[in-house]
Amino acid sequence: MNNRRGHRLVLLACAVVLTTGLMIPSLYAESYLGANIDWEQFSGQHVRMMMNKHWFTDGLQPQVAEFEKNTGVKVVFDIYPEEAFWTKLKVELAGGLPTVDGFMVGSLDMGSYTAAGWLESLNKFFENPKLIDKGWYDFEDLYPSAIRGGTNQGQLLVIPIGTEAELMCYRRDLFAENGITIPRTYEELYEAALKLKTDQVAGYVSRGLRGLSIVWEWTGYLLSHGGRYFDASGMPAFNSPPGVQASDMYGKMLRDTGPAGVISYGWPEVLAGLQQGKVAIGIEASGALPALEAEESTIAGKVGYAQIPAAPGQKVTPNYWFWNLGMNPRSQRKDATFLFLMWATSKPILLRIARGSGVSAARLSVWEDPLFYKAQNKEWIDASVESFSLVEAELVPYLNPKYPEIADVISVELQNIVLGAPVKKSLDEAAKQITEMMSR
Amino acid sequence: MKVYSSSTQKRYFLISMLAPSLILLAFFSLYPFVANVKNSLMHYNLTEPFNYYFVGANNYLRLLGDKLFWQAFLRTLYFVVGAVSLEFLLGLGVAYLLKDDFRGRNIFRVIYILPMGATPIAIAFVWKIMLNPSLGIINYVLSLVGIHGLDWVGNPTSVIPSLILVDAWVWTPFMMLILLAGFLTLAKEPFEAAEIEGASAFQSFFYIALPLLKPLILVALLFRIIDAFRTFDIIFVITGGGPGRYSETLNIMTYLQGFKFLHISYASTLAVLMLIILIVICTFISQLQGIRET
Repeated sequence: MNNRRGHRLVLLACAVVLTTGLMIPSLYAESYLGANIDWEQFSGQHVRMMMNKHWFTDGLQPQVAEFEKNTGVKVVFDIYPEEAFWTKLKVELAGGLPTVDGFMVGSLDMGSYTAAGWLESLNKFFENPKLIDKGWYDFEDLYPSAIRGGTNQGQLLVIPIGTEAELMCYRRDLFAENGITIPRTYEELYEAALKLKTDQVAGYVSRGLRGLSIVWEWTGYLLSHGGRYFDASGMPAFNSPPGVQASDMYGKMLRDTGPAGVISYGWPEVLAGLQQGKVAIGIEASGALPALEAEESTIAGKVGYAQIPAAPGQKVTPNYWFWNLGMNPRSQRKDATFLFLMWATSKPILLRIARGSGVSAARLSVWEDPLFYKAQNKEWIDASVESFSLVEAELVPYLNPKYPEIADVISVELQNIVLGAPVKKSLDEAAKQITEMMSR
Repeated sequence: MKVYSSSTQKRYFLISMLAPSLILLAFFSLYPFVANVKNSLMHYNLTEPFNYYFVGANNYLRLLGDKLFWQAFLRTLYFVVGAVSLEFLLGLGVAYLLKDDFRGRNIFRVIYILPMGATPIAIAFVWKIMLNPSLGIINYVLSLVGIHGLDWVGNPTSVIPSLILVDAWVWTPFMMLILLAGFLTLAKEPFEAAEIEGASAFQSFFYIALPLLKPLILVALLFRIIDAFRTFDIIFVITGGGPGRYSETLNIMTYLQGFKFLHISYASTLAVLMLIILIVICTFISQLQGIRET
């Protein structure tokens, strides 16, 4: 009640301010300008950021003008769709030029970028009181597992912006009509999906596309069957019995209950299929799922969110993903770049973006924020928070510099499995190629 | 004023005319080529920038023993032979029909050339949607006549034929254009003579037109083989090499090795081998022509 009255007062105050034509910075802007640093110290410089076309970018972009106004630093965003983004960024970084100052880094590339020396260590910036007000920034509020994933030999290489884990979404209306309860094992999931499959609606969808796509969601199957990528000695272990079971199940799910052409589905296609009501159950990255409650979704309000299943006797272990911001070691405007990275990952800004668009921000406080809770689907928030706690980060070899190639080799065989190839033989082939690759 | 002899003048003229293109060639063709050959002899992986050393022919030996390379090579041949034969047959047929005078001939000529005017990458996106089993118009049209369409590019057996179809849609006009130009330059007399002698249209096509056009046909085939061999945009957009590796041609493999896995030396080696394969094929075809001429 009190809270609501507070809102009214704020609204009233805003109305007064607007009607009298006074210019004041917005309330949230004040809260970051209150940081004890000189925001205008790099006025006149410019920072070039290379960004993925992603909801975080969409959320951040409208805020940038305010940063530019308050700091005098000009920020140029170069935005590319995901596939083009990976390639373009690699080419620019490999060229060793200072043309890019900062960029988005996904979990997939953490290992290879680190090995290549493409990430500037951020420790010295965080220790510089001219650049950061530590009490205000609240470093401990950043997702601890993301910080661990972004740290190499004591050096923090990236600042997390987004945290995501695999989540299951299902059509509550279809479940009720068919008397289906939330599947807890993969057998139950398979039966539910088969039962819900009709000529118009597919039973289940997750990614089938070659590369990281299919592997990303298969990883949750693998880990939740008790399988592992590698054994203790570092040899491939995903072709062991739990891995075979998991891959067999992944293939069966897509082959028997998935939409036609699922082999070419990346996350945009999965989301589109769900949004259009053409699929009953999906497994996707938690961060992508607010799209199901968006205006253009035909299933908004009818979706339930739950953890992915686990094989009997196994622990639910979803795959995860962090989006981060990193700095080019060749940048010639590192301080100004850090100022921007620090601002973009600060509490007020991440809160503002999260409340507005449901971005899965990598700050603990966002997930406890009442306004975020109010603006977004509560079940989704609760399920997301729970899924983050189930993640076992070290089980996914993101920090292996060869992970992109490892994932590609596995993805080829997984696609073959979806198309009906013998499971054990296909996984053995992938394991053989990966063993060869690692010996090079 | 010094007066140059005419041969010196001619030499200066030649040099000044050639210089701009030679300089450009040196920068944009020669240098990358030399750098590429050099890279293929090194260990060069972008994720290991400090591990850059000479390995001699190791990359080549590894590639020749790599079964993925041979699979990609056979796949590429399949695609090239399929696409170029289809384009040649269709192009020849259409050119033959369009060579004669008839009402609306020019309109048809323009219509047939249109696909060449569009950007291949845009065409690839359109075909990607058309081939999509749930959204695409192809399966929709098939369903109207009661046929349950395939997942064209998601199925190992139909993926390359589907890509061949798209390539043929884009490039048949090129074949048609060259052959049409050929038909139009042919003298009328041999055909008139043949007609008087009582040759059928069939006979005059196979025994007069085709032999006369042979050099042109070989040139057209050569162009298209080289182009089809290094097709990238269509395959990359529509399948990205998938499903599995069922459409991973040599060029897609090179792209993946270089830009996705950052194995610059291995990708360079692939590029050099592709060039060698192309040179062998082209020499073989030009030999064919040479044999006929002697």
